Amino acid sequence: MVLLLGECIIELKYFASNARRIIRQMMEVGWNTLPLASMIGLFTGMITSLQTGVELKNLGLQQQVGTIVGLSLVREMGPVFTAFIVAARVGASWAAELGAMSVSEEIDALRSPGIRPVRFLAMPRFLAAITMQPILTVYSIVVGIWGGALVSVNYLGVSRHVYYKRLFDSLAMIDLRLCLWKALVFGALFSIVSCYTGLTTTNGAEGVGRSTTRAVVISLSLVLVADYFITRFLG
Amino acid sequence: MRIEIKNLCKSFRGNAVLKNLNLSIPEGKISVIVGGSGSGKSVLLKHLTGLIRPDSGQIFVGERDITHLSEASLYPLRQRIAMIFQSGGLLGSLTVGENVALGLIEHKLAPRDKIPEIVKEKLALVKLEGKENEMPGNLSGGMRKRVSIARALTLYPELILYDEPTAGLDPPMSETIDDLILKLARDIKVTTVMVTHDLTSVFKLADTVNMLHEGEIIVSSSPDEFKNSKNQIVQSFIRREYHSAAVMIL
Repeated sequence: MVLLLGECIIELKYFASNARRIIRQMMEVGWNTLPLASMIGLFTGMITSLQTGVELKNLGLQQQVGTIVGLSLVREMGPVFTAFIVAARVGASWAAELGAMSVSEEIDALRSPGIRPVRFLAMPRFLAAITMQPILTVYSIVVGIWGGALVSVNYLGVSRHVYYKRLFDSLAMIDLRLCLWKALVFGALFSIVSCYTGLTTTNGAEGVGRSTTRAVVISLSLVLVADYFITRFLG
Repeated sequence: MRIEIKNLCKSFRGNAVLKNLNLSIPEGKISVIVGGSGSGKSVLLKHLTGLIRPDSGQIFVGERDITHLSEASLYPLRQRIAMIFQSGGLLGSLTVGENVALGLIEHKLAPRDKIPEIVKEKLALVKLEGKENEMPGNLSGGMRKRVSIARALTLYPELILYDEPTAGLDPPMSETIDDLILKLARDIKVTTVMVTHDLTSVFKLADTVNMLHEGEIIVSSSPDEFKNSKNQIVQSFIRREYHSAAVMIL
């Protein structure tokens, strides 16, 4: 996987000649994941607001709900949950697609006339993931913040102005930077894991199924491990 | 482009598939490799383009020893070798036209505006005019193989490797593919290596027949000599009583 990551980075210089494939994958990671990211973001914000808001209200601190929603979404839930849904939706699909190509000799058919599978298949996916994952994460957080506001204003009786003021006051530039770093790393992780498991698939249809499961399990695990270390050393 | 294989050995998980195999493929001729299912014919073919690496031995393609070439060093060589896979090996996400144009685009071998014309010409050569916009999934097995041949021809290969080109096809379609292979070999004078167990194709096309049995080439001869060989294994193969070693053990 480390070798594949290195090769993908080297192959990035050929992005212009692969523009069509990159755009197609960007649409897959970004545009096609928007409905799911919207729903997950919205309900994450609403649930966070509801769970913390009720407890804070008991203590008379419900005005702080914006602070908690903002910090938890930007620092943790936004990047991690978005990575989870993209890894599960797009990563699984990539592993299955590349796996099916491997077992049906399509990868060998690419290598045979001297076409590099990494440049042709993995690099466009890698580039699409590292560019679209941060954008999708920010979008998901914005929707989540809006969802949190819906609950805070309509259920907890916090004014919209106070909610947003507390939320923006609590956030520092480092939080946003950390969030974007996480999204970038998570995008790189799930794309490399999915491409690697797909490209190394053997044993027919059974192997494709196994690769798809492996891609999702490894991606989700690595996202959590990476999350801890990024928070620990960059936070 | 001639090929020389010396003492080639290849095992998969302890199961020896090729054992000290020696083989010469003459330039500009059709060499056929026959053998039972699972005898390692496709494995041998994939060694010739570096898709599978040997455990030991040497493979010379042209004058070049490709045995220890890195993947990156193999890419320029592979542009001179075409391989027609048993399944066709077409990319399912691309149209027929895009599949045929793939090598031209990726290796920048033709100006963009000339590519549709070249694609049309190559598809006409395999009698698939007007199929540019079809998806491979909508084509029959024979058509997929012909598209694969058209794709191979765009790179003007010096060596074409066919892996079971007529497997799973009805007799008329098999004959069409055989005629196409013969036409390319004779007209373009391209060196051809074909793996098959279709005896009709063997006797129609081969200049040399090589029989692979238990990991070794046991007979290498002209089709007539092959037909009249006294070798028991060859005779049982011709009489269709052949069983690979694995089957006999079971």
